[in-house]
Amino acid sequence: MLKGHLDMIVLAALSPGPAHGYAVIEEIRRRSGKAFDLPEGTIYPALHRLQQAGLLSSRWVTAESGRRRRVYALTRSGTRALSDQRAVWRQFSDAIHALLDGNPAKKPA
Amino acid sequence: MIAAYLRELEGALAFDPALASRVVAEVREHLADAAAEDEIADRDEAEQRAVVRFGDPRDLAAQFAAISLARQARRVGLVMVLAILIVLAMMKARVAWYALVAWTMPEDARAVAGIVFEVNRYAFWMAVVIGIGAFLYIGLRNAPMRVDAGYRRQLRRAALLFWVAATALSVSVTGDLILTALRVGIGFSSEAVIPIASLSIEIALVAAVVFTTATTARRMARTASAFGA
Repeated sequence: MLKGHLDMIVLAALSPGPAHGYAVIEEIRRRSGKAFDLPEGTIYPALHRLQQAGLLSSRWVTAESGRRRRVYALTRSGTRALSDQRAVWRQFSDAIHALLDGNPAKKPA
Repeated sequence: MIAAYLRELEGALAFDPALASRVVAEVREHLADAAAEDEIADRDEAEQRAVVRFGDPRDLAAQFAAISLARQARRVGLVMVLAILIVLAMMKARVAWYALVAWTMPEDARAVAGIVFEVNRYAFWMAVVIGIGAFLYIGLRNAPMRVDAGYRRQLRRAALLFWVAATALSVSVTGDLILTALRVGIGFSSEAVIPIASLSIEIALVAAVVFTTATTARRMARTASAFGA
């Protein structure tokens, strides 16, 4: 189930700012309270796929330690896609909550 | 441990050497970070744990295969569309040149030229419609997470369309070759430089399209069958 939403999760993890793959994984773990513990390698196909779709850009950056890392950042389309997916997810989540709680969901404004 | 894992990953990604090189460089840094941040004192064990957390290289390669296939299909489409546009520009340049130097078709070649011109015209527009259609069909799709049966079907359809477009473009350029030969004749003159140069460019483009379509279609079929569901 988590894999079905991986793209949205990766976009959300990059919303605070550009980051390399390892930092993206750390951010996902931190923000999910360690609930999302994917095989770490899974993040790279997602990053490449999102870049190919134009939702992310990337560039090599050399750190002060001299190590080179590929840093990913949301593009304008990526920011828009995240915002759209967030809205859809909230609507879906509200509907599920309402269903489980037995209360009718509020219609989106 | 990390080095052995990277070698295995590079081997699994051998279907796309450029992608393999980039992925291995990224993963090397990731595993070094993961091992360095592991609190365990034993470095070998830290590396071992980093590699286990990263996942199976073949499973990763299967996910990258879908990305690689999407990129290759898009590249064939781009080459096709570019070739069509340049062939069109060459045709227009030749026609403009003939008008400029008042170079008409010899009387005795007009009947044959009329037939060849019609075949040429239909073949070219067929290449335009099918080539651009194939590009839009496969080029605008995002790569799926994995190469499933549906995506393999789409790739096969796109490859077929690219082949039909490449064949139609070859027929069109052959028509151009015949029409130019009928007009220019056997003797060489300085005025023939433009038609011959433009035709040479068209022939080179068709060769590039056929080569790109053939090599990419073969590679795509191999990768899709290796990693497909």
